[in-house]
Amino acid sequence: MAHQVLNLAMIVCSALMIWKGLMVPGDILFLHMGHAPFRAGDIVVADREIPIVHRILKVHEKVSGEVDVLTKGDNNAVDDRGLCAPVCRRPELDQQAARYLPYIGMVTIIMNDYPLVKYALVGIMGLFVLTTRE
Amino acid sequence: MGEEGRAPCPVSFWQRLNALFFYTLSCLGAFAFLAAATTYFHEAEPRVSLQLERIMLRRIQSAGHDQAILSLAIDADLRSVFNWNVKQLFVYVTAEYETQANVLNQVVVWDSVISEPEQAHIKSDLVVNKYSLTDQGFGLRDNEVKLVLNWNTVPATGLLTLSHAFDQIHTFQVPATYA
Repeated sequence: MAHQVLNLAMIVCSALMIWKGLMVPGDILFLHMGHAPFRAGDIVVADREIPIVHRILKVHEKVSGEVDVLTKGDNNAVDDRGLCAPVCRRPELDQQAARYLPYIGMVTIIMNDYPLVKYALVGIMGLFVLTTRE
Repeated sequence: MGEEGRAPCPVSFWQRLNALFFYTLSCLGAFAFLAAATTYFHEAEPRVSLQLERIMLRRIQSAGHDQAILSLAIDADLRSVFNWNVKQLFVYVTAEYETQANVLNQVVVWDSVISEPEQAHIKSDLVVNKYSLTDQGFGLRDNEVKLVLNWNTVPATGLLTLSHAFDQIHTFQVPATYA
Protein backbone atom coordinates (compact mmCIF):
# COMPACT_ATOMS: atom_id res chain seq x y z
CA MET A 1 0.00 0.00 0.00
CA ALA A 2 2.71 2.47 1.07
CA HIS A 3 4.71 1.47 -1.98
CA GLN A 4 1.76 2.21 -4.19
CA VAL A 5 1.24 5.65 -2.65
CA LEU A 6 4.94 6.47 -3.08
CA ASN A 7 4.89 5.31 -6.65
CA LEU A 8 1.87 7.45 -7.39
CA ALA A 9 3.45 10.46 -5.70
CA MET A 10 6.57 10.02 -7.82
CA ILE A 11 4.58 9.85 -11.00
CA VAL A 12 2.62 12.96 -10.11
CA CYS A 13 5.84 14.77 -9.13
CA SER A 14 7.64 14.03 -12.37
CA ALA A 15 4.54 14.92 -14.37
CA LEU A 16 4.40 18.27 -12.56
CA MET A 17 8.13 18.87 -13.10
CA ILE A 18 7.73 18.26 -16.79
CA TRP A 19 4.60 20.36 -17.01
CA LYS A 20 5.82 23.40 -15.11
CA GLY A 21 9.36 23.53 -16.46
CA LEU A 22 12.35 24.37 -14.29
CA MET A 23 15.23 26.03 -16.08
CA VAL A 24 16.09 27.06 -19.60
CA PRO A 25 19.08 25.56 -21.40
CA GLY A 26 19.16 21.95 -20.24
CA ASP A 27 20.62 22.25 -16.77
CA ILE A 28 18.77 22.60 -13.50
CA LEU A 29 19.92 25.27 -11.09
CA PHE A 30 18.73 25.40 -7.50
CA LEU A 31 18.33 28.97 -6.38
CA HIS A 32 18.16 30.70 -3.05
CA MET A 33 17.20 34.19 -1.98
CA GLY A 34 20.61 35.22 -0.75
CA HIS A 35 20.82 37.45 2.27
CA ALA A 36 24.51 38.01 1.67
CA PRO A 37 25.29 41.16 -0.35
CA PHE A 38 25.93 40.81 -4.07
CA ARG A 39 29.60 40.52 -4.90
CA ALA A 40 31.54 40.22 -8.15
CA GLY A 41 31.56 36.60 -9.31
CA ASP A 42 28.16 35.71 -7.84
CA ILE A 43 25.75 34.08 -10.27
CA VAL A 44 22.41 35.84 -10.14
CA VAL A 45 19.07 35.47 -11.86
CA ALA A 46 17.17 38.33 -13.45
CA ASP A 47 13.59 37.13 -13.61
CA ARG A 48 12.54 38.16 -17.07
CA GLU A 49 10.18 36.27 -19.34
CA ILE A 50 13.11 33.94 -19.93
CA PRO A 51 15.20 34.07 -16.75
CA ILE A 52 18.71 35.43 -17.33
CA VAL A 53 21.35 33.58 -15.31
CA HIS A 54 24.49 35.69 -15.49
CA ARG A 55 27.56 36.42 -13.42
CA ILE A 56 28.21 39.73 -11.68
CA LEU A 57 31.05 41.66 -13.33
CA LYS A 58 30.90 44.96 -11.42
CA VAL A 59 29.57 46.04 -8.04
CA HIS A 60 29.30 49.64 -6.86
CA GLU A 61 27.91 49.95 -3.37
CA LYS A 62 26.91 53.44 -2.31
CA VAL A 63 27.11 54.89 1.18
CA SER A 64 23.31 54.67 1.41
CA GLY A 65 23.53 50.91 0.88
CA GLU A 66 22.15 51.11 -2.65
CA VAL A 67 23.98 48.79 -5.01
CA ASP A 68 24.65 49.10 -8.72
CA VAL A 69 25.41 45.79 -10.38
CA LEU A 70 26.58 44.94 -13.89
CA THR A 71 26.35 41.34 -15.11
CA LYS A 72 27.75 39.37 -18.02
CA GLY A 73 27.14 35.88 -19.37
CA ASP A 74 30.29 33.72 -19.22
CA ASN A 75 29.81 32.72 -22.82
CA ASN A 76 28.90 36.18 -24.10
CA ALA A 77 31.41 38.52 -25.68
CA VAL A 78 29.94 41.65 -24.11
CA ASP A 79 28.38 42.55 -20.77
CA ASP A 80 24.68 43.17 -20.18
CA ARG A 81 24.71 46.93 -20.63
CA GLY A 82 22.50 46.40 -23.65
CA LEU A 83 20.02 44.22 -21.75
CA CYS A 84 19.04 46.73 -19.09
CA ALA A 85 19.52 50.34 -18.12
CA PRO A 86 23.20 51.47 -18.09
CA VAL A 87 23.80 49.59 -14.88
CA CYS A 88 21.26 47.16 -13.42
CA ARG A 89 19.90 47.97 -9.97
CA ARG A 90 19.58 45.39 -7.27
CA PRO A 91 15.76 44.89 -7.45
CA GLU A 92 16.23 43.59 -10.99
CA LEU A 93 17.96 40.58 -9.54
CA ASP A 94 16.14 38.00 -7.51
CA GLN A 95 18.08 34.94 -6.65
CA GLN A 96 21.51 33.42 -6.53
CA ALA A 97 22.43 30.06 -7.91
CA ALA A 98 23.60 27.53 -5.35
CA ARG A 99 23.43 24.03 -6.79
CA TYR A 100 23.69 22.48 -10.16
CA LEU A 101 22.23 19.42 -11.90
CA PRO A 102 23.21 19.09 -15.52
CA TYR A 103 21.07 18.19 -18.54
CA ILE A 104 17.94 17.00 -16.72
CA GLY A 105 16.14 20.16 -17.82
CA MET A 106 16.64 19.01 -21.42
CA VAL A 107 13.43 17.03 -20.88
CA THR A 108 11.58 20.27 -20.21
CA ILE A 109 13.02 21.93 -23.29
CA ILE A 110 11.95 19.06 -25.50
CA MET A 111 8.50 19.18 -23.87
CA ASN A 112 8.17 22.87 -24.57
CA ASP A 113 9.48 22.66 -28.12
CA TYR A 114 7.32 19.68 -29.04
CA PRO A 115 4.02 19.89 -27.12
CA LEU A 116 2.92 16.55 -28.57
CA VAL A 117 5.69 14.77 -26.67
CA LYS A 118 4.44 16.48 -23.53
CA TYR A 119 0.87 15.31 -24.03
CA ALA A 120 2.02 11.80 -24.89
CA LEU A 121 4.23 11.56 -21.82
CA VAL A 122 1.65 12.95 -19.43
CA GLY A 123 -0.89 10.60 -21.02
CA ILE A 124 1.37 7.60 -20.47
CA MET A 125 1.90 8.68 -16.88
CA GLY A 126 -1.85 8.90 -16.40
CA LEU A 127 -2.07 5.38 -17.75
CA PHE A 128 0.54 4.28 -15.22
CA VAL A 129 -1.55 5.76 -12.42
CA LEU A 130 -4.57 3.84 -13.61
CA THR A 131 -2.78 0.54 -14.20
CA THR A 132 -0.65 0.39 -11.04
CA ARG A 133 -3.70 -0.68 -9.01
CA GLU A 134 -3.02 -4.21 -7.88
CA MET B 1 -2.26 -11.01 -21.67
CA GLY B 2 -1.29 -14.67 -21.17
CA GLU B 3 -1.70 -17.09 -24.04
CA GLU B 4 -3.85 -20.16 -23.73
CA GLY B 5 -2.30 -22.80 -21.54
CA ARG B 6 -0.10 -20.28 -19.75
CA ALA B 7 -0.97 -18.62 -16.46
CA PRO B 8 -1.70 -14.91 -16.91
CA CYS B 9 1.18 -12.72 -15.76
CA PRO B 10 0.20 -10.85 -12.60
CA VAL B 11 2.31 -7.82 -13.54
CA SER B 12 1.52 -5.96 -16.74
CA PHE B 13 4.09 -4.77 -19.25
CA TRP B 14 3.40 -1.14 -18.33
CA GLN B 15 3.93 -1.83 -14.65
CA ARG B 16 7.31 -3.37 -15.46
CA LEU B 17 8.26 -0.39 -17.62
CA ASN B 18 7.11 1.99 -14.93
CA ALA B 19 9.15 0.20 -12.26
CA LEU B 20 12.21 0.11 -14.51
CA PHE B 21 11.92 3.81 -15.33
CA PHE B 22 11.63 4.93 -11.73
CA TYR B 23 14.35 2.54 -10.59
CA THR B 24 16.67 4.10 -13.19
CA LEU B 25 15.65 7.56 -12.00
CA SER B 26 16.35 6.67 -8.36
CA CYS B 27 19.75 5.20 -9.30
CA LEU B 28 20.63 8.34 -11.26
CA GLY B 29 19.67 10.48 -8.28
CA ALA B 30 21.66 8.29 -5.92
CA PHE B 31 24.76 8.42 -8.10
CA ALA B 32 24.46 12.19 -8.51
CA PHE B 33 24.29 12.49 -4.72
CA LEU B 34 27.27 10.13 -4.30
CA ALA B 35 29.35 12.11 -6.80
CA ALA B 36 28.71 15.27 -4.80
CA ALA B 37 29.09 13.56 -1.40
CA THR B 38 32.40 11.80 -2.15
CA THR B 39 34.05 15.07 -3.15
CA TYR B 40 32.53 17.22 -0.42
CA PHE B 41 35.61 16.93 1.78
CA HIS B 42 38.11 17.20 -1.07
CA GLU B 43 40.86 19.53 0.05
CA ALA B 44 42.71 21.54 -2.52
CA GLU B 45 46.11 23.14 -2.06
CA PRO B 46 46.10 25.95 -4.59
CA ARG B 47 49.17 28.14 -4.96
CA VAL B 48 48.47 31.67 -6.08
CA SER B 49 50.65 34.64 -6.88
CA LEU B 50 49.20 37.79 -8.38
CA GLN B 51 50.94 41.06 -9.23
CA LEU B 52 50.39 44.23 -11.17
CA GLU B 53 52.95 44.70 -13.92
CA ARG B 54 51.86 47.89 -15.61
CA ILE B 55 49.01 50.38 -15.39
CA MET B 56 47.82 53.23 -17.56
CA LEU B 57 45.22 55.64 -16.18
CA ARG B 58 43.04 57.69 -18.48
CA ARG B 59 40.35 60.28 -17.85
CA ILE B 60 37.44 59.76 -20.24
CA GLN B 61 35.87 63.20 -20.08
CA SER B 62 32.96 62.46 -22.44
CA ALA B 63 31.85 59.35 -20.52
CA GLY B 64 32.49 60.97 -17.16
CA HIS B 65 34.74 58.34 -15.67
CA ASP B 66 38.28 57.19 -15.02
CA GLN B 67 39.55 54.15 -16.85
CA ALA B 68 42.68 52.14 -16.14
CA ILE B 69 44.28 49.55 -18.40
CA LEU B 70 46.11 46.92 -16.39
CA SER B 71 48.70 44.31 -17.16
CA LEU B 72 49.03 41.51 -14.60
CA ALA B 73 51.48 38.78 -13.75
CA ILE B 74 49.58 35.68 -12.68
CA ASP B 75 51.08 32.46 -11.40
CA ALA B 76 48.23 30.34 -10.10
CA ASP B 77 48.39 26.59 -9.76
CA LEU B 78 44.81 25.40 -9.31
CA ARG B 79 45.35 21.84 -10.54
CA SER B 80 44.66 20.41 -7.09
CA VAL B 81 41.19 21.96 -7.10
CA PHE B 82 40.10 19.46 -9.73
CA ASN B 83 38.54 16.16 -8.74
CA TRP B 84 36.25 13.75 -10.53
CA ASN B 85 33.19 15.88 -9.80
CA VAL B 86 34.64 19.14 -11.13
CA LYS B 87 33.44 20.06 -14.58
CA GLN B 88 35.26 23.36 -14.89
CA LEU B 89 36.67 26.32 -13.02
CA PHE B 90 35.72 29.89 -13.64
CA VAL B 91 38.76 31.91 -12.60
CA TYR B 92 38.52 35.67 -12.25
CA VAL B 93 40.50 38.58 -10.88
CA THR B 94 38.68 41.37 -9.06
CA ALA B 95 39.92 44.88 -8.33
CA GLU B 96 38.46 46.34 -5.15
CA TYR B 97 38.69 49.93 -3.96
CA GLU B 98 36.84 52.62 -2.07
CA THR B 99 35.85 55.99 -3.40
CA GLN B 100 34.14 59.02 -1.91
CA ALA B 101 30.91 58.06 -3.64
CA ASN B 102 30.99 54.32 -2.96
CA VAL B 103 31.91 52.32 0.13
CA LEU B 104 32.82 49.42 -2.13
CA ASN B 105 33.71 49.09 -5.78
CA GLN B 106 34.39 45.65 -7.22
CA VAL B 107 35.42 45.29 -10.83
CA VAL B 108 36.30 42.03 -12.56
CA VAL B 109 39.32 42.80 -14.75
CA TRP B 110 40.08 39.34 -16.09
CA ASP B 111 38.41 35.95 -16.21
CA SER B 112 38.89 32.56 -17.81
CA VAL B 113 37.05 29.26 -18.05
CA ILE B 114 39.26 26.23 -17.33
CA SER B 115 37.89 22.86 -18.35
CA GLU B 116 40.99 20.68 -18.09
CA PRO B 117 43.18 20.10 -15.03
CA GLU B 118 46.26 20.53 -17.24
CA GLN B 119 45.22 24.08 -18.05
CA ALA B 120 44.72 24.91 -14.40
CA HIS B 121 48.26 26.18 -13.97
CA ILE B 122 47.93 29.76 -15.13
CA LYS B 123 51.36 31.28 -15.58
CA SER B 124 51.90 34.46 -17.51
CA ASP B 125 53.68 37.77 -16.91
CA LEU B 126 51.62 39.54 -19.50
CA VAL B 127 47.95 39.14 -18.74
CA VAL B 128 46.33 42.25 -20.20
CA ASN B 129 42.99 43.00 -18.62
CA LYS B 130 39.94 41.58 -20.37
CA TYR B 131 37.69 44.26 -18.92
CA SER B 132 39.25 47.62 -18.20
CA LEU B 133 39.14 48.95 -14.65
CA THR B 134 36.45 51.59 -15.05
CA ASP B 135 35.14 53.67 -12.18
CA GLN B 136 31.65 55.16 -11.95
CA GLY B 137 33.18 58.63 -11.67
CA PHE B 138 36.64 60.14 -11.33
CA GLY B 139 37.65 58.14 -8.29
CA LEU B 140 40.62 56.09 -9.45
CA ARG B 141 43.45 58.61 -9.47
CA ASP B 142 45.95 58.10 -6.64
CA ASN B 143 43.62 55.53 -5.07
CA GLU B 144 44.59 52.25 -3.41
CA VAL B 145 43.35 49.18 -5.26
CA LYS B 146 43.39 45.56 -4.11
CA LEU B 147 43.65 42.70 -6.60
CA VAL B 148 42.19 39.32 -5.64
CA LEU B 149 42.15 36.07 -7.59
CA ASN B 150 38.94 34.06 -7.17
CA TRP B 151 37.51 30.94 -8.68
CA ASN B 152 34.10 29.38 -8.95
CA THR B 153 34.10 25.59 -8.95
CA VAL B 154 31.45 24.23 -11.31
CA PRO B 155 30.74 20.60 -10.38
CA ALA B 156 29.42 17.83 -12.62
CA THR B 157 26.62 17.76 -10.09
CA GLY B 158 26.34 19.34 -6.66
CA LEU B 159 27.29 22.54 -4.91
CA LEU B 160 28.60 25.58 -6.76
CA THR B 161 31.35 26.98 -4.57
CA LEU B 162 33.28 30.24 -4.64
CA SER B 163 36.87 30.44 -3.44
CA HIS B 164 39.00 33.52 -2.90
CA ALA B 165 42.76 33.76 -2.58
CA PHE B 166 42.43 36.31 0.24
CA ASP B 167 45.88 35.39 1.55
CA GLN B 168 47.45 36.56 -1.70
CA ILE B 169 45.94 40.00 -2.15
CA HIS B 170 48.07 42.39 -4.19
CA THR B 171 47.65 46.04 -3.23
CA PHE B 172 48.83 48.85 -5.48
CA GLN B 173 48.53 52.61 -5.85
CA VAL B 174 46.97 54.02 -9.03
CA PRO B 175 49.18 56.77 -10.55
CA ALA B 176 48.44 60.34 -9.50
CA THR B 177 48.67 61.57 -13.07
CA TYR B 178 46.66 60.71 -16.16
CA ALA B 179 48.46 59.24 -19.15
